[in-house]
Amino acid sequence: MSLDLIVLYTLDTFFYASLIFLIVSGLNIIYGVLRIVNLAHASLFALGAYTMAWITSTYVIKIFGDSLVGLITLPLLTAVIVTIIASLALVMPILTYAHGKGDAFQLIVTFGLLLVFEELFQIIWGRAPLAAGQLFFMLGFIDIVDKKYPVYKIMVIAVTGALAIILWHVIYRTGFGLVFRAIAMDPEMSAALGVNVGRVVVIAIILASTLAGLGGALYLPVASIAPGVSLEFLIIAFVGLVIGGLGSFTGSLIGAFIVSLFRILSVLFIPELELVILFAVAAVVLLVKPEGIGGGR
Amino acid sequence: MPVEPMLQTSGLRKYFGGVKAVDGVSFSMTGGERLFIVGPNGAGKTTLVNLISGYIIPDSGTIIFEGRDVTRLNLTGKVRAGIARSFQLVNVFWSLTVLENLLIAVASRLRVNINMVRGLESYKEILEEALELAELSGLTEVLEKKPTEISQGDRKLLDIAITLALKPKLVMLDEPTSGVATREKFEVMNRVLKALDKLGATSIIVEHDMEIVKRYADRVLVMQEGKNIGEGAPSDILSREDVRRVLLGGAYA
Amino acid sequence: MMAVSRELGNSFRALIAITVLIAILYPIVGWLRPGFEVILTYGVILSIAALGFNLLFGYTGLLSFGHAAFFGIGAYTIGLTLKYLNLRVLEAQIIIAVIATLLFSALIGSIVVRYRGIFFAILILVIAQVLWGFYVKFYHITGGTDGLKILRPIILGFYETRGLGYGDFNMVYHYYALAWFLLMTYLMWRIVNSPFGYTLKMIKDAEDRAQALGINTYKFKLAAFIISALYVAVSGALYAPLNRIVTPELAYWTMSGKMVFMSILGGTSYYMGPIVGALVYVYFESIAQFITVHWFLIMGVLIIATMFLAPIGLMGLIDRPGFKRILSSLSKLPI
Repeated sequence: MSLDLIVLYTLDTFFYASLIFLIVSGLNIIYGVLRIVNLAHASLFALGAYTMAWITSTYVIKIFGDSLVGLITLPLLTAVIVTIIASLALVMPILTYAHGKGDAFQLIVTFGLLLVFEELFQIIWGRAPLAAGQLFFMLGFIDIVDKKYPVYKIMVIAVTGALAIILWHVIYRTGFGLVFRAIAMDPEMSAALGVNVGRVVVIAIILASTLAGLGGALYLPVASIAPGVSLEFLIIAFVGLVIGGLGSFTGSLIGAFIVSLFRILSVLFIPELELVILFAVAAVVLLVKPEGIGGGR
Repeated sequence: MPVEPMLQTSGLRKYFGGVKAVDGVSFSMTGGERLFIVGPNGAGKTTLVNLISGYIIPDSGTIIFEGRDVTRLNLTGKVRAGIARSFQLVNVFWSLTVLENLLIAVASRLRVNINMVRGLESYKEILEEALELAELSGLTEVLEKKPTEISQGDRKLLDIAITLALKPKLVMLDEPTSGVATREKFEVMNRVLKALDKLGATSIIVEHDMEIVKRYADRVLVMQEGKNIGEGAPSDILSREDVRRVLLGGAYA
Repeated sequence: MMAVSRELGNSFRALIAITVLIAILYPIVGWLRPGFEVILTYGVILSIAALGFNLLFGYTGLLSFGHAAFFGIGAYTIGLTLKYLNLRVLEAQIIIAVIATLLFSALIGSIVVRYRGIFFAILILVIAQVLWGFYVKFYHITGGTDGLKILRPIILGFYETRGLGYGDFNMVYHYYALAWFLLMTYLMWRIVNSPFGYTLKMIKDAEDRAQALGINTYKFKLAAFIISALYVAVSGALYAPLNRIVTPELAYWTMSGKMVFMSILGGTSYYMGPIVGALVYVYFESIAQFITVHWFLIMGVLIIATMFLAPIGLMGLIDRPGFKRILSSLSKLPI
């Protein structure tokens, strides 16, 4: 493979890793405070994407025309806000109720939630794939060695990189982060010490849905959103979660990167077996290092 | 004629990271003996039981059981060799009735678990043995109840009865009276030991309560910081000054 | 000595009663509301799948979101043996489906039963999605999203159902399915009450303790996984001729969701739970489809509602003392 292709595929790996990180980190945040793996979390990603597609193609173009600032700010902001609202209204009550009720209970109710979201999307936006590539094309391409690479993807990598740094800062350098980590380590002890667990849960859910909604919105301009995408990303994010380790921040980064790498490689060489390869990776990691690469605190 | 020891450990060692949970423990037991292990919290008593029962494999040292090296046998291997244990926390099959718990435990020993068509309750010999076990452990009154519906003392007895259903040659009981109300303690202990005697099993019992140790032990082994610091008859060993200090410094004040 | 007292949901009598009920109800429903009787047949067939699913979940404690994979194998075996081997003898086709499922589930199971909880649930889901992707993408074999048309089968090795009218076929097929139901439920009854079945319950309650009794729990979980898969595959195979078409939807993750829902609706800790759940489910679904095409929205809400309000399921509610009193006073009535 020539140098230019290697560079392009490396960039693509980082691009997908960025999107996956935005889902996995949220899954981990929720797991940290509630000990629940939310199967409907990737639906929030899909919600971000749907909102992005819908608002870009209806209002944004009418109001702002071809203005780049308008194309970036309004849709992303709307996508995040819609995701947060949906999350607080639909996800939070269910997660807080399911808290402490055991694996099976939590898996089943969040699975129910996944079904609800999937059908709601189809009721609101139909079954046909939705796309809005304006932003992608408007930002154009840059020359990398001999090939052209979309500026948009580089922007997404940069934005996610910045978000990862902010998230790291929030978790490891702020008062909230301290409380958050305390709860993640020992919820009962934290409650006994007078930590307002309820408030931390709300903030964690807002944080996680912001990341997922933004992820979906950022994903949309390069692809389209249709029924089934939630589940596809749920599976990919789950494999990332397994590789990185449940409840680990660095694990989210490592897991997202590795799963993205395998994804790019399999799409490149044997696209039919993408899921089989992801399955094998998850199964092997679970067998060899059940706590994940970044886990084992 | 020197008696061949039934169980002999030498230099058993298990470290968890920097923690020396069991640090070179050697002792031996003859058949039919009743050994109590005492020591403060964190002395490595449960780890020692875990090592002998195959829950964890020692870093070094050997376990000889009935003349055979069983050091590296896993849980299943140890059970088949005749070593069984009960747990500090009650660990029974909560969705089954007391009788069903006993039936399936006996069935496990007879290795009929793989049978998929015959009703478990239709095995006459299993039913008889389970009822006998219930009688021995004093659980006859609560046979039809679920473990959630019986007293903590009965749960403990059920837990131990499940272990005894294996007809082990060596039984290890990890704090058989922990969590049991004081007034029930001697009752539970009496029944347990009656059952042990009936089976003729050799036993290792981890115990906190010195009253019980004094009353029931043949021999006592004292542990501190992963080491065996002395063993002997209860009256001798428990009156030793250093042992008293260790135990009083712990939870025995 | 009858050693163990049983709840209604775990009694053989209830199984017999429901079988008789299904047999009697068919003509009655057809007379009251033509077209509604065939739904009962779907319920009978799906209850075999739910029963299989619940052997793994309710008895062994392994929750699968991917059992649609085995349903798909059952259904597609019927379609593919028809297309490529021109085979229409249903029992022969079912035997092929059983063999295929046996091999596939042994292979997959040997990997996935090493895991618990979320890990098991999602790994099996991934496998199901792989198969679903196969049905969609390899359309020259599977017919893609259009699926495979299923011709009327020959049943019992000799009985040609081709010449039958619509209503006659449905009736014949109902009692044929009921015979399978009787066979499968009876075998399952034997399994769950055998030492093997109790061993599965031990694994669900306290796997470490079962190991301490010298049980190789991995082998038992694998065996439960395979049996469970076979039940679902037989159900899928019986489903195909009635549905007259096999599409990837039968292997989609929403199909797995149906099995989860049927089981929790009826009550996963009861033998009768999944059976009752499946029968109630099919009528739920068909009535809901008068109102909306978005059945899965309602199902999602109902899944959450069931878990929140009655996680013990319908059989659990029936087993409550109040209901039992009514039932026992009813049974004292001279009929």
